[in-house]
Amino acid sequence: MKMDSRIDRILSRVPLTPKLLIITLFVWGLVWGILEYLQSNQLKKITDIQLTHLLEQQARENRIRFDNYVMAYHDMAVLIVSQKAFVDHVRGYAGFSDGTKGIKYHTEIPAWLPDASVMRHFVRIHNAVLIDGMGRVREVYQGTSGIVPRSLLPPSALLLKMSRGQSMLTVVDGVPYLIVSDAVKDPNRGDTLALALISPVDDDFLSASQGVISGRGIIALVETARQQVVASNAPDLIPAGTQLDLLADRYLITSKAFFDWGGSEMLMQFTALVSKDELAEMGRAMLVEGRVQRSFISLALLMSFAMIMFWITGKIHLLTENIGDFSHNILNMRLPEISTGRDQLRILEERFAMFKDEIIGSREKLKRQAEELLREKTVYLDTLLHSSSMAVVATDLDLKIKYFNPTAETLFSISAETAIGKTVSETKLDERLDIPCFEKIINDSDGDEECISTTINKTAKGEQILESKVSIVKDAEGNISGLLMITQDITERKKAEEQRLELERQLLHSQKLESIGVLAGGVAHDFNNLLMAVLGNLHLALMKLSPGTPVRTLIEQAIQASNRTADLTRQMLAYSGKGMFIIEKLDINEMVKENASLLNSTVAKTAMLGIDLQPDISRIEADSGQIQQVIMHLLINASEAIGENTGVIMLSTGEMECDETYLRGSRTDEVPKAGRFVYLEVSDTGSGMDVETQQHMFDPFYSTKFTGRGLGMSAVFGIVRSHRGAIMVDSVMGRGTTIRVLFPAEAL
Amino acid sequence: MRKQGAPECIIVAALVCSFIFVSGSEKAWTQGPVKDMRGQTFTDPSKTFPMPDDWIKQPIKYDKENEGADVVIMMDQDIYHTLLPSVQQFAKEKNLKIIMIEGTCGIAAGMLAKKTADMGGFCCPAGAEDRLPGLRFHTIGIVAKAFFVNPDNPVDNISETQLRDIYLGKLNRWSELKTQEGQKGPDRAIKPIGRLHCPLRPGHWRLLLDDKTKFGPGVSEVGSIPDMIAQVASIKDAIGWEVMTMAERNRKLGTVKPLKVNGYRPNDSGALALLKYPFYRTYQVTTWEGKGVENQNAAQLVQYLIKEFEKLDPDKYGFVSQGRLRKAGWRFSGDELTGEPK
Repeated sequence: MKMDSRIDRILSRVPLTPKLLIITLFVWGLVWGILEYLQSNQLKKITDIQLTHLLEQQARENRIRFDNYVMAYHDMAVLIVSQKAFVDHVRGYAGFSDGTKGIKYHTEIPAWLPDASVMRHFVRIHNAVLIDGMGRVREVYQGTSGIVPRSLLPPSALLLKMSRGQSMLTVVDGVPYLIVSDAVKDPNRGDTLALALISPVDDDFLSASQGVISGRGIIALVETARQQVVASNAPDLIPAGTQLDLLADRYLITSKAFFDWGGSEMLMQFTALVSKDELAEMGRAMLVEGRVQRSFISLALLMSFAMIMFWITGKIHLLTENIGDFSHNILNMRLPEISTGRDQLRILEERFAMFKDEIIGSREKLKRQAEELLREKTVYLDTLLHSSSMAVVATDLDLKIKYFNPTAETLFSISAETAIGKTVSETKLDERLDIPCFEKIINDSDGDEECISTTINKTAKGEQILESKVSIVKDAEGNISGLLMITQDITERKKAEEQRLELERQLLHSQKLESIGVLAGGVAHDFNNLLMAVLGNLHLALMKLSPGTPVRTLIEQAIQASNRTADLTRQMLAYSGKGMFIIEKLDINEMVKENASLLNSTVAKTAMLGIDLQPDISRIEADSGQIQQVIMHLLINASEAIGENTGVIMLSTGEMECDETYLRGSRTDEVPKAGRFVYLEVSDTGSGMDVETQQHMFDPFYSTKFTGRGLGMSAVFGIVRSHRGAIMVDSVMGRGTTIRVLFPAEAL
Repeated sequence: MRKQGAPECIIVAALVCSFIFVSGSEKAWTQGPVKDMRGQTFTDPSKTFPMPDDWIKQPIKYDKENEGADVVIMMDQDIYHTLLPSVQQFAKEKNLKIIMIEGTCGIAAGMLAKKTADMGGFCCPAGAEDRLPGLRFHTIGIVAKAFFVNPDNPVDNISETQLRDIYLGKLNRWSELKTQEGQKGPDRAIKPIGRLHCPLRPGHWRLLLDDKTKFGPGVSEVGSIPDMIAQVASIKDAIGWEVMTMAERNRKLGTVKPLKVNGYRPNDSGALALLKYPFYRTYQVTTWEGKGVENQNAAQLVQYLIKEFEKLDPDKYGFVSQGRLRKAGWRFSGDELTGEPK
């Protein structure tokens, strides 16, 4: 490790460009060596393959030349035999079988052969032999290569026959010979005279067969059985008798085992050879050429590399400075100065490492701050939610509860531990909440994102009115991820609101009735005083009139009208509560019984009055006259509701316990306190009242009849109010009306 | 390494032709008129080429390198590859050391003439010079000689007469022939190629034209089977011949397309047996008869080869075995095929 760090320090002091140049030169040398090895091997392989192929091609071409050359001998024999000079010459014999003995040898071209000017253009004739019909040799032309062997003077009959019409290659006395022959026939005697051309297939023959060609190729005839060279066209290099396997080290060799033309009985190979030394020399030349080219390429690459490195070094320097500036200006961090002569890449690396550490540190710091902020915010929100007087419930889209604050625990009587993780239906919250509202905002993504609903929550303590606001919760991508429900108990608020409205309503009505009462009371009081004066005077006038006076009837009618007017004023006074009140303990049942006949006469003849009195009811504290008025007005109203039709009117009494809720249905402007009440109820089977009529039925001067004065029911209203009672109205159009008036029962 | 044609050979050929033309009257004087274009099919088996007595008495003596063998066979390359598996099988079955050498008909004839082999294998019928004293020929079968063209050539069928006319030099353009669709062949010159080997033996190319001299001046000659395949495969308008086994064997040199002749494919052995397909080679092997030359193993091998040849797929390359030839009316002398059906 120590050694490593020392080397590292030393290397860091060396500038980048020379360091990389050293590395490059090292790699270059290594690659050069490998290439040298691989290329030389590969080149050798390729040249061997290529040259073997070329050698095969050359061997084939050489053999074709050889074939053509050999076959041309036959054509030569045919040509000579066909020429006139030859025919003339043999005709000169006294018959082909004239008995002449001895052989005539020619060293010059004889007359029976074409002259030299023609012969030059033909294959070279080594020996030409004329054989007569007896099979005797008559003349021999010995051309360039010596003497014909004795065994071929003459050739055997078989050989002579086999050499007719084809070029015959055969071995005679261990020497390969080419023999071709043709003959002319004496038509008169039937004798034939044959011409045989005989050539040894030696080095000269092989050379001549290939013509004047240049090249590295050597051809040789090799005896197949012994693999021994018989002849070659380069005897100085490959003399006859050389073993072929001894040449394998020095030559590339290819062979053709036999001649295909059928006229050869030699089992010899036609072999082509190329010197391996020449091939190696050629390979070396190619390698040298390759090296020169590689050197040029390497030099060019090195120069390019140096220029690129110079450019890269400049860029690295610039980058290093930029990092320093950024660190200083943005991160407020001072990096060490760049010292010249050091490895630029190492400096960049160091600066970048410091820069990286600083950024990582800053990021960690920011992360911690963000986490702290988030934690504080979470605690704050948690506190807020815990402190909220509203129940806060969060669910996912499957309505599975994710959050349940303490107020929700109290409101729904479920612990957060139980609720969280369960669905709304599993916690039975769906019975207390407006679930369709939930589903609507989940399913209707384009619609409202919140809904407000009011539901009744039944608890052991009674009913609660709950108001819930449900809104969707979206994630960071804006997708709906759940619901947030904020619920509060608005029972008290609702109650207060209703009370307020009731008070307002009562106040307004009271004010209205009071105004009307004041007005009616004032008018009725004064009018009643004046009416008393009118009635008194009328009675005085009547007393002074003698019986039977026609005027008396008029006065009596005036008194009657005045009495009715007095009734009206009493009603008005009753409504305003300013009438004469003589409060006494009153048994309603007794009162009804006493006035039964009067009451019966009040209703129309088409209506039947039924009376149902609950026995032993409590007495009430009331003015009997006014209660009587109430009964009368209720019966008249019921009778008028039946009208000319037949119907039933039921007058009943009773006693009951009334709570506030029940009493809140009273039509009086003041709701009496809860307690026991004695009631008087009149129901009819008449036409019933619509809502509008019911609202105004107790208003003074309100009447649905043309002839009505609209004071009867308002008098009932005023009397009941004066007695701190209540009025309940139940009317259904077409089925009839029931009006119940309640008076506080006398306390026992 | 540079290539050079054979200019002198071209000159020679030109001079030969001109010379023959000039002195044609002399040859006519010696040889007489040609009777039939289709050459000699077989030679007379009753005739034997006369040989000296000492040759007749000479026993079979193997070359030094073949000493110790039970049977030495020299076979022409055509028949060699067809029969080699059967020979190896026979040697295995009989536990014999059989040396079989690949060569040509000429080499086989040469070894037989020197009496250095027990058996010779020929792709041609025996020539008169091949009928040496004591030598017996046994026909294994015949095989169709196919005429090939370049695969791009649209011509698919040719008549025997048209083939003959092409090689005579009378029919010179492919447009004078019809393609498979019945249209004219391409208007280009036909480039006929011949391999006029074994001219002394009957049959083979001599079934097309009997004599070398009858081949037209436009015929170029090649000296070997690979040369023939390579040239036909590479020269667009070439036509040449070989047996289909050799085309297959030299396929690396190029692909060639066999033509139907008279409407029959060369591998249609039935058509060949009835001579509706008229060109064929004759696969023959020889054995010796007589004291000092007979080899019983060779005699057994011949019968084995005849039977094994029967088992080969006849329609793969157009093989007709001896048995089928006999049934089809071909004439035999002993084991030797000596005549076409009458």
